Amino acid sequence: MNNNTEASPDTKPSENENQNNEIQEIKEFGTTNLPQEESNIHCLSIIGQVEGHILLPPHNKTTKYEHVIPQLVAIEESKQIEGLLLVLNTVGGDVEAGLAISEMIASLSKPSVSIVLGGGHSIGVPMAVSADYSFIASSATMTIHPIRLNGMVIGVPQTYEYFNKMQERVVKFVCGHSKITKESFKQLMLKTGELANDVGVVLFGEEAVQTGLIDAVGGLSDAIAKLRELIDAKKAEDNQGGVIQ
Amino acid sequence: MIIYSIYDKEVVFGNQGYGEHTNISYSNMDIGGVSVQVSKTNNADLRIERILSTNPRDYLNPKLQPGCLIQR
Repeated sequence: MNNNTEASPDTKPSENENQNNEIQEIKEFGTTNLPQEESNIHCLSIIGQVEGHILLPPHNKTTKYEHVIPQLVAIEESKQIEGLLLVLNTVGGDVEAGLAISEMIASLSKPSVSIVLGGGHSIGVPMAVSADYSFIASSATMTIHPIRLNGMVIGVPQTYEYFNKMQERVVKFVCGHSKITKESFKQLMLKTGELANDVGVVLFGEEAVQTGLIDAVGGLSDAIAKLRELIDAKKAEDNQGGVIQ
Repeated sequence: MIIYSIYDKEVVFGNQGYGEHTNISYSNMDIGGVSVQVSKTNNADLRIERILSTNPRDYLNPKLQPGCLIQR
């Protein structure tokens, strides 16, 4: 097997034979053994660093927008897929890539539910609120802090203004897609005494819900149940719309 | 580019701290229509590291489990 697409994982001989048969099937008939049950819910996981315009060194676990954005387009386009489950466990990353993915999810016509597990820090916050409904595990945390100065910094007031503007994009998106107000979000960003070397705040699951950032505390079953509910509601709405017109 | 992360940029861009596997190189390939991220092993085989798919069914496929080796 020289071709990449024909490569198969190295397993036991009997299984290898099965795989060869399957590859034969693909070659001869253009068919493959699809799993019996097709899922109408697709799952997108945002893990590690969100990679932006610069390729991060391989020691980072990254979520790349060139992977994620076409997947979101495919989900929007697909007739079988009815909902999106967004699973977040991220330490943050590039502002523009994060906001790009958030905007894509927010503008999806299909119902979406996000769930924050472990951590949804920094740029993970707008991504978490971009879904129609958001969950957070009670042990999960979200760190909210100001956008820091990276790269070349010139000590002029304009630098501060520039970062303020960049930060404003994040604040605006988060407040536009969750129940938190601009004032209280900025207050959390600038809170002192909670983070060792920085201003900001760490929110636990329940706290994130209390501030209005996240809709509910819950786990996988809650998220799937909510997503199915949203899918059914959308179907009902679509049907009704057809009758009226 | 502005990074909004709880990690410092020295951790993100530098090689300090996290892990010894800093010289692993990853590449992407397609197996039966599913995009996967693979790494090279010492025997020049490819090992599946990660599935890049939103379809939850792909993750149940025994042929695509992380750690599976791909014969070349």
